[in-house]
Amino acid sequence: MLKYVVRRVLYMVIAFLAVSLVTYFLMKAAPGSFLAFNQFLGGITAASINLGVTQQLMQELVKEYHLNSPWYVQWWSYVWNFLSLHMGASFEYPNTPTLSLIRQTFPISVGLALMSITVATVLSIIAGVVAAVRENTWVDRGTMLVAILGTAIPAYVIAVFLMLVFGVWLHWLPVLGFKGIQYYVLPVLSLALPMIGSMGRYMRNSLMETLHSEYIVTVYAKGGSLKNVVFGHGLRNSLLPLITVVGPQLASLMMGTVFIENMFGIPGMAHLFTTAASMRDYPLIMDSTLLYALVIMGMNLIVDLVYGFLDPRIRKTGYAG
Amino acid sequence: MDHPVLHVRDLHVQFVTDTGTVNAVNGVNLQVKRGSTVGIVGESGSGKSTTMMAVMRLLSTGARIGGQVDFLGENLLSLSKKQMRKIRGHRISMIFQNPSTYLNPTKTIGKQMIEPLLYHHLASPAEARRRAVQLLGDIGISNPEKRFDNYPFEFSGGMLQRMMIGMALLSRPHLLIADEPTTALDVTVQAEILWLLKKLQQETGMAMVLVTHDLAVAAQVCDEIYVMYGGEMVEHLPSEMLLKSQAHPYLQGLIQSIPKLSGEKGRLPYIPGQPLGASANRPTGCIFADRCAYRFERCAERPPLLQLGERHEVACWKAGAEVSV
Repeated sequence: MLKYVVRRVLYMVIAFLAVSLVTYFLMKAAPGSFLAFNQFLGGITAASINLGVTQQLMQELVKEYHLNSPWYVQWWSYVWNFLSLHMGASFEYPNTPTLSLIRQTFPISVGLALMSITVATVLSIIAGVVAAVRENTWVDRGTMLVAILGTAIPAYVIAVFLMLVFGVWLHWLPVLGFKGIQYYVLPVLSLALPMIGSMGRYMRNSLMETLHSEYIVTVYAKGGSLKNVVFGHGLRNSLLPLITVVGPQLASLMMGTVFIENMFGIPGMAHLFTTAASMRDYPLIMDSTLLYALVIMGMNLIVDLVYGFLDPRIRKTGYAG
Repeated sequence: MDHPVLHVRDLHVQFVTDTGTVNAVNGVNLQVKRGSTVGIVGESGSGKSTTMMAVMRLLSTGARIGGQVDFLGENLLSLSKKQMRKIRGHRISMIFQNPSTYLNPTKTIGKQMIEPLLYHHLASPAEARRRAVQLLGDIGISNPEKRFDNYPFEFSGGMLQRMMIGMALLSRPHLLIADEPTTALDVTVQAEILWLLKKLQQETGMAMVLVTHDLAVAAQVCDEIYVMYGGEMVEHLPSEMLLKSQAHPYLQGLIQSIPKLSGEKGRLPYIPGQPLGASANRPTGCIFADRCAYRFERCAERPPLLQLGERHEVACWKAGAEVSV
């Protein structure tokens, strides 16, 4: 098991460096620069740019981030600054260290993502179990139809729909801002509903496959009821495959939060990241991308370890059957 | 007269599929007396396993079952699902061919073993554990206390089948149905398992149905043997008569095709032709006629089970005629 973890961490290091390289070159390949955008905007309404980056400050930044050095020096300085937590100043917020920007926004995004994935997983399991035990009846087909509709509609369309119904028509829930638990409901639902389609379907097929296996016949032969079969034997074994899709779903959730945070005015990390990207704020782009990469890879590692924990064949020997 | 534990009368099983109706079992009759062992032999697809799955009502929802299955005076086919559940794993237990696929790979041996006791509220979890550990020891699993918490992948095939037998007997059933219990095991282990089954049967006095395609196994273990072909019973005889007095040409063919260790080497005899398919169109005459070397005019008419002697019946005009002459 330890050997497995070490190997996985080694792969993570390689993937992390690859992500940083790709991000670096994509970022540099994008036309324009922070300086150019500010000079352009500054020329129109100098007063409205609260940041007012001075020529002198810009030179300091050039120096600090080695902006005139060869690419590998620049790239490495981003990576090293990130890893050593000396992330320095972003172009846009020169007076606030990037680390404290992330510290303010990251927990909000993580909370949103974790709540969404939890809601999605619980609803998927319920939908999958209901559909699987009523295999090929109208209950099964109806549940799966609703689930597929959820997948077909993107999060931002669902968000608008939910805002309209629960915010504008019914006045039950707030649609903008971030001042308490009730502000979480609509964003979490917007993110969770599209995931239920694929996850619920996965759960249904996985449980159905388990229910058709020979050891389920044994449970019935022992006098077990449908309840014994589903909750005593089927559910746990069909959760194994579901856990593997939770990882990738988390990754796509990170993308989903970009729209949702902007639509609901949630001051999260995704909001910070989109601003950084559009302003070519190099340090902030690099730092937030690398953080996302770390989080996603960490999630996948955790998912694999949980997988191993649930399957005794992996837990005890390191290999599956 | 002692009532049989299990009395199957005119059992029919049909599967309705997208491609048509499959007649798997066609009017099977059989009796299992208290404390006795009955063997059901026949080739793959002859309907022997389906018959016993129908008795347990474990067939998929697409199966149509007709006839009567009397178990201790109750017709199992007329019970509600809930009443049937109270019989399975308590009054009738069943073990299967391949123990490694018939056990949940992610649950410990012990947890799976005590489930019959827990489902039927026959013991508290602690009491069930105590009884299961003791039984594991009795059936030859060393270090049962520790083995109780093992997973199926940590057991060998023979140990798994021992455990399955233990699991089936923990609730002290009146009837054990063993569906090809030794087919997946190698020969030495096979003998151990059969010996264990016989020993436990003598200790508990339960009745047993052994489904097998292996005539040698059936002859060793069973008191009476039923031979199935094409979803029907073609012969019923006491096992001591199997090798000497078998009457049906199909059973004669099966016995001739068993390889012998002594004597001259030569080409092994076999039964020409294909086994009868389970399609909707069944012959009106004898179901074995197409493959039979002794076929004559009368075989165009379906033979009923003809009484040849005490506990000896055969569905064959020729065999019946020889006796009556």
